[in-house]
Amino acid sequence: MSLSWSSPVKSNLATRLRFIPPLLLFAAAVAALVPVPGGIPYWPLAGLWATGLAVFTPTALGNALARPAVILAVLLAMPVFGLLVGSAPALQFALLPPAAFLLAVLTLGPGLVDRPLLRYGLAALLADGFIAVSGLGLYYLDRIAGTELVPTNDALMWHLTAGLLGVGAMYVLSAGLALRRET
Amino acid sequence: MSSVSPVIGPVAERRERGATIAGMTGLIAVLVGGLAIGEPYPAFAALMGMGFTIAPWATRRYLCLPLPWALTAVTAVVTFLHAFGILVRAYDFVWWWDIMTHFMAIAVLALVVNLAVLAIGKRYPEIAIEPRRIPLVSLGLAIALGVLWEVLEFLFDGLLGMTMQYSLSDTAVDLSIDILGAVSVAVLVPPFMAKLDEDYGMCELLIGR
Repeated sequence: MSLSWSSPVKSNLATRLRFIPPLLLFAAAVAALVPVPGGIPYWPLAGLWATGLAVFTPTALGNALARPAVILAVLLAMPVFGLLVGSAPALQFALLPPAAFLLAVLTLGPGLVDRPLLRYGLAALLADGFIAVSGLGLYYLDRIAGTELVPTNDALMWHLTAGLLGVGAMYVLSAGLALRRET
Repeated sequence: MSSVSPVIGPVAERRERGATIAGMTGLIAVLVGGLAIGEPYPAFAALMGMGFTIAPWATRRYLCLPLPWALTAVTAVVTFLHAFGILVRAYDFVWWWDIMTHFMAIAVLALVVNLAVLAIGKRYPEIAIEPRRIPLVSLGLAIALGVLWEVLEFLFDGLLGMTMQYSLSDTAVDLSIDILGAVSVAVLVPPFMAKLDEDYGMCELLIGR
């Protein structure tokens, strides 16, 4: 009997492989917690959020949310590879908004909000909230602990500007793809 | 429908009219004052404030969308305080002026977002959000708009050489107040959402359709 790529085989394979996305995300999230010379201080916060997701919602990450979980894992791991060519800080700065958006998508999940457009809209708001609160959180940490994580107004504003633009772009992209799938 | 409804009825409309007239009078005074001393910024702020103050009345009249009269009153107060503060330089000399106007402005904005999301959901049920979730959505939107405001200030400063942002602590305090105002509304507004939800869909009572 020849083995064809029939639906039961596919389903069986999917069942066997569903531990991979949460495992990949967990590994990438832990890698994101490792300090990078010259790296942005917000990146480990994204790693912390991703670690929480990988630990507390592994089942969802292995099923309906497998694709965004794998994409997020790749995004979180990219600065580690960027270390080899010395571009890790720039990569972190550029990838933080999309990573925050994907973290928000994974956090909201399909169970909480079933309509994709609304889910992506709420995810964009949540991601933007993360960008704002993380910036403020580190500013107040500086004030309390005397660190220099957010040294200037420009540093905070570039973080907020890149976050707003990046999250907005991710929303437009995701909503556009969702609309295309629906039509 | 009771005549003491915050949205529908002669009492609500009379109060809304009174708040609009009072706000417009104050803002016209600031506009004239700004023009008289040759300061365009307070005059511009007063003009913007007039647009915001008259918006609830116009929304009720032309879009068939009644809003609570208290919203008009608070909007009038906030826009007047903002424009007046620029005119008399209260932002420079009164340390809490910026905090007060930011808090009130973001609270009004969050209330407007709550009402707008509710009203849009009434008109387009296919994209409606459950009333109990609306305060959370408005919280997110208000924070996003607060961030957008700071980003615009930053861009104007960089591109046009203006000084809308004074320092890191000024930006951080503004953002913190924005978040505090939005959270306050998200905490306080849910008990009123059901009542507002009932009051919407009153187009035929407003314009006889």
